[in-house]
This record gives sequence, structure tokens and C-alpha cells, in this order.
Amino acid sequence: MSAIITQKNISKTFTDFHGRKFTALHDINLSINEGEFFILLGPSGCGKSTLLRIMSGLEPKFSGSQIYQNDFSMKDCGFVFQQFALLPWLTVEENVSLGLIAKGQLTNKKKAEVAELLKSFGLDKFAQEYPKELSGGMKQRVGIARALAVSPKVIFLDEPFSALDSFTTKTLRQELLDVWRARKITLVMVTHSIEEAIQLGDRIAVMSANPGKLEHIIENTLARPRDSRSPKFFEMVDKLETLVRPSNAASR
Amino acid sequence: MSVQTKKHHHIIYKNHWHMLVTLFLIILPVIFFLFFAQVAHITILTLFTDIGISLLRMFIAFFISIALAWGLAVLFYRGRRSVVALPVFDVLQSVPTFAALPLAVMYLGTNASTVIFFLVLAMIWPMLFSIISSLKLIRNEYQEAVTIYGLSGWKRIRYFIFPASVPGLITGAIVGLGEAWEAIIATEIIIGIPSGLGPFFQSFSTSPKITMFGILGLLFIIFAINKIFLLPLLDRSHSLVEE
Repeated sequence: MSAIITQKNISKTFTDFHGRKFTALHDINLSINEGEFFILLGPSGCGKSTLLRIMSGLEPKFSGSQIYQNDFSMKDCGFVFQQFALLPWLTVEENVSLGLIAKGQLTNKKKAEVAELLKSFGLDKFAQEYPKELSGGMKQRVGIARALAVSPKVIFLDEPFSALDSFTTKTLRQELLDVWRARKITLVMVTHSIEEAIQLGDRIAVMSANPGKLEHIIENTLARPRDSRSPKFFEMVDKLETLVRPSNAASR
Repeated sequence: MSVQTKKHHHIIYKNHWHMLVTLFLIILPVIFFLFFAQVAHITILTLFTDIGISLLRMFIAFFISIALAWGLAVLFYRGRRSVVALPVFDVLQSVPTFAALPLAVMYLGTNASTVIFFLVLAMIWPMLFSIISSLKLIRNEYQEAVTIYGLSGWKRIRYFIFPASVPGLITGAIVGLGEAWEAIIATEIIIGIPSGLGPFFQSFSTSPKITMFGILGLLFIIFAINKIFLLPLLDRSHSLVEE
């Protein structure tokens, strides 16, 4: 298995309004392997979202080095946002097609693929609706479908389920796992839920805050499908709970 | 490339009653002005020519201002450029432009383009600032989504910047037109242009009654324009950006 993204000595400092410097990330070293489900886990303020944005290329200013696999670029990325970030003036279908529209690739073949994608997420009935008419869960399905539409190698997910209720979250986690298995893509997901991390991830990077540091990378070898009530699952939860330290400072 | 855009079903008239009221809004000012022309002993033709000429000047100035304001807003709403540009705009909008009117007459002459020029100066600022504020209100996640999916150039404008700026465009148009009514009468009177509403009011300055009725008539026009065009647009523009 080869690394699709390799980060060496990544640090990131923000300067606030008063000119004070704040270290969001300090000396991060990690690599994302092709095809894995990688989790960034940590309390709020540990810089996990910032790290995800650096990986995806959304945050171009940082120190350290980041190496992508030869033919990998931002074009091969999808991104799923915490608050969905669907453009409210575009229909569901247009939102899902956004990446294809941008690249001028919305051919008839691609249109059919989009239609297929909408159908697989149960969104075909809403294709011509606007996002505001959808429930939170359906909105995030649009978000995931939009990411998949560009046939990405990697999808970055920034707490994609934290704005949803627990029932919807459960279903969507399963749908995400199905997609991951069927398409063999690489997923990098930020979460603050230990249970979610164990349920989904192959490897879990535990981060701590002030400054944002990478503490451990845990291999999650539990067999799939994972039963969240099995003793081994609980063992893993206990292990992670001792590793994840809550942050005291309020910050990004 | 073509995207199947859903046709927005804009319902203009909610029911027959609504349509009648709207029609009434158009007919009422006309009847009022016919009556007014009788009372003031002027020909209907003169009256409507004056109104028409002023409206035309406003119309031209409106489109120049809105286009300029939108372009400036898109260019300067964020980044390092905005740090320099926004304070400059703020100072410029506070310049008492009418102070330069006599100067402008000297150099540009007493003609319609002088009127239009000053109308633009009066209208452009509220438009510019309301477009800038609606662009600044774009959520960061939208910017990021548009960046990650690679919208750039013309498509970025067509699918992102323009729709996001529509509420500001409409609000700016409403406030800008408000300023313009004031500006057009004042400018036309000050520079002494022979046609339009300014000279119309000036020629009746000796009769308080006719001046009052004239202002009332103007209010009818403004109200009708607002009710028929601007307020429905304002409603729609907000539902456009609602999540």
C-alpha cells in the first residue's frame, strides 16, 4: 500500500486581530495510505479541521512539507462539510454536478452518472428541489454525492455528521462505509466522537490541543462489520478515552 | 456545456384581487396626472414629457450605477485590495457631490449627461456598500466548496458570486433609487436644464398647491415602482440565499 499524502513537520500559526500568534498545529508527521479510512480524532481546538484543510489544499499557508502521490492533485478530491455547504440557489442536481460543471465535464454520460448517484442516495425525487427543502440527513447525502460525482481518489470529511441527529448519523455512517467499500477510495475524516472513530476508521490519529499535536496513531483492527456493543469495541473505547485529552482553552 | 436549470415558477400575482390592486397602482398615477394637468393648466403632453425625460435619465443612470457598483464590489470586497479600497469608497461616498455641481456645469455644460453623471454619484454608493456586505456575508464553507470543486473565472461568477450578490443588488437598488429621486430633482433645478421634473417644479414654485400635488404625484410613481418591481424582487432575493 502506498502513501497518497505524506506530511512532514507540518506546523501552522494563526495571527489574530491584535497581532498575537497562536499555534494551531505543531510538527505533524503522518501519511495517508491509498484506500484506507483515516480518522483525525481530537477535542475541539486541536487543529484537526485545519490539518484536513492543509491536506486538501484549501489551506495553502503552512510550514513543513506535504507530498502528494505522483498524479494526485486537488482535482481528485472531494470535500464534505460539517454544515453541508450546498449552494442554496442551485438545485440538488446542480449541486451534485458542481465539480463537473466547474471542469466543463458535464457530458451526457456524466449526467447519467449523476442521475445514478442521486438514485443511489434516494435523492432522485428531489433532483429539482432546492437544498432548503431537504432535511439535514438528505442535505448531507447531497454533500456526499457531490463529492463522489467528481470520481475522486480521496474524500475529506469535516465532521460530516455532527449537525445531524443520532438516528440519521447511524444510517449515514453505514451508507458512507458502503460507498467506501464499493468504490475503493481513500477517506480522511475529522470527528470528535470516539465511537464514530472506532466504528469507521482503519487508523485513528489522536490529536491534542494547545498547541495542536499528533499524539498517537492507533491501528483499528476490529473486524468489520463492527458491533458497537462487543467487548473488543468497548476495550477500544476505553483505550481511546485515556488518550484523548479534553482541551481547556477555547479556540478554533 | 448546458446545465438543466429548473425554471423558477415565479408567481407574480397571487390571485385576481392582487392583480387588480397592481393594475390600480398603474392606473391611479395616470388618472392623477390627467387631473393634475387640468388643475395646473398645462398640457398633458408637457407633463408626461417631463416625467418621461426624468424617468429616462434615472433609468440610464440606474443601470450605469448598478453595473459599476457590482463590478467594483466584486473586485474589491475582500483580500488585500479591500483594505485599501473600502476606506477610499467610504470617504468618496461622503463627498458632498452637489458642491461640485456648478463646476460640472462649467465643464460639462447644462445637459442630460451632467444630470446622469450626478445621479450616478448619488446612487452608486448605497448600491456598492450593500453588494459588498452581501458578498462579505458569504459563509466561508461556500468559498471552500467552490474552491475545492474548482469553480473559477466566468463560472465562479455565474454559479457563485452573482447569485450570492443578488440580495445586495436588490437592497442597493431600492436605497439607490431613493437617493436618485432626491438627486434628480435637485440636479435638474440647480443646473437649470430646460426639461424634466426639476424645471417642472421650479416653474410652479410660486404655487404651493401645485407643488404639493406634484410631490404627491411623484410619491404615487415611486410607490408604484416599489410595489410592482422592487418589493417582490426583495422577497425573492432572500429566498434565493435561504438555506
